[in-house]
Amino acid sequence: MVNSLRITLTFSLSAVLLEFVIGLSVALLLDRKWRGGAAIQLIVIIPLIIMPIVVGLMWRFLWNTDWGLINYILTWIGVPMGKINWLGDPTTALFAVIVTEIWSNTPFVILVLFAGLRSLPVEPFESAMVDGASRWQMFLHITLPLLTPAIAVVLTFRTIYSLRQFATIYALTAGGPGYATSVLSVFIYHTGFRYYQAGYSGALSVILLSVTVAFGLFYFKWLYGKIEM
Amino acid sequence: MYQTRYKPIQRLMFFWLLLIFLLWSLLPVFWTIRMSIMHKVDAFTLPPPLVFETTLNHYGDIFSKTFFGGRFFHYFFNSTTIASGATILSVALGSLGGYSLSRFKFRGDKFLAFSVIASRMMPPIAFAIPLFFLIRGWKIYDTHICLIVIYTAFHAPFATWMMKGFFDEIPIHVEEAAMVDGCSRLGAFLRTTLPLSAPGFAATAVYNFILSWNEFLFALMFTSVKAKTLPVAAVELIGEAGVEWGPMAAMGTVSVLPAIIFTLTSQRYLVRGLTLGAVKG
Repeated sequence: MVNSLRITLTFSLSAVLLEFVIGLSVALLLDRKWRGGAAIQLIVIIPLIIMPIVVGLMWRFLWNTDWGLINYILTWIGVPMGKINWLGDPTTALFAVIVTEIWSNTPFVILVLFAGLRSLPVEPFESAMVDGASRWQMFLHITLPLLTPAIAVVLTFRTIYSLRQFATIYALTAGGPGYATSVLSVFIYHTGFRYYQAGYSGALSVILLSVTVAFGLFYFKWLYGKIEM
Repeated sequence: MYQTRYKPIQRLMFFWLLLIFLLWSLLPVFWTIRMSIMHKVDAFTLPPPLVFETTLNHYGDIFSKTFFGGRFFHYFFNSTTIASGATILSVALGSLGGYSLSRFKFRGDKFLAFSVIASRMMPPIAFAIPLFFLIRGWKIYDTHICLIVIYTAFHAPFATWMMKGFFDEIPIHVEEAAMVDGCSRLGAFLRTTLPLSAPGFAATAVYNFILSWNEFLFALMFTSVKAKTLPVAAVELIGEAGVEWGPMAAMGTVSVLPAIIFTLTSQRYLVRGLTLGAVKG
């Protein structure tokens, strides 16, 4: 149980952190004039609307040891690692699952942060320009603080939703090898519906619920604290 | 949006970074569609052949008796019925609820609005065990109704929140004018506010449809044959000896199409609806 909780937190927190970093970078990249904006937006959305179970299966093929694209690309660009059994090896399975989660959910981060960037007022940037601020200073002292509401929304929902992730993990590894990728939701499913331990499964559910609510309240407090300022 | 000037070399770098990201987004999808029209031998060949013989056999296989016991269209129909039913119900509830939250001031309205979002925090799996006993008690295991009710319960709060955002953007004067002209409150809502927020309404419906269409966990636990949906059927392709890759790719392509088509129809408002909370705080 403790192990499963640890895996869940590792999975959620690292996925959300990386999604946020990648998402913010891409949102900043998008926040200038590009030809074909609508088409770009559609491409960005696509991973978000694909069935999670299909996402899992798609990536299960990409991660495959012998005919997966990932091992091939790694060899092709000259990473001397040989054939890695990504999903079958307990040390790499969680990493593979996290990367898949990042692929399918970064679009949400991009959309929200991009919309946030679009709605920023122009005046603070102009006056900062006049005062001779560097781009980095402007980003750190104007963009980020003004973007806080959007950032809070992103972090809240991504944390809550990654804590409950089930379908992609089920399709990729079904929690294995061993218990290497058994996040709480998969673990609850196994105890309750495979081993029919309804009581144990129910207790685990309460733990998952508490963790989620704890994170939710933390973010809510942060979000509303900032807005009332 | 405030634009600063960049050197051409920097702009070129931005272009390449964006291109890399778009490639990363599209490649897995492209790879799956590609696999769905390839013979098994070609799909497993590395380096990937640039020229290959295309085939529609995998599509033929999933539509015929080779996989799913010939029930692919049955599952497709189930998915459509359940997703549509849940969408209609949750959008109906969501637009009325969203309207109330947007227009009426009453004691505890803030708390009510908060609890609508807070209910989105609840992880579905945490309700799996209690729901399972309820469903068995009510004898609605493996029925369409069962999934429609559950999806409505879980997705209506989000519809409410999204619709509230869209209603907030429509000035209240329009309704007041209609009411001065003799409309009832409901009449004014149905005749003015709702038509004005039609794109938002459509986007909410599309998003709800996609959520229900893609839902896996409850469908896996609460259906077996009669009401089985496509995502659960996809699991049948994971066999003892590994995954049936060709049919899996074909099935993935077919099942993603409705979501993509719906998204195309309401892309702009869909994105607006998803990001409303962020922009307005």
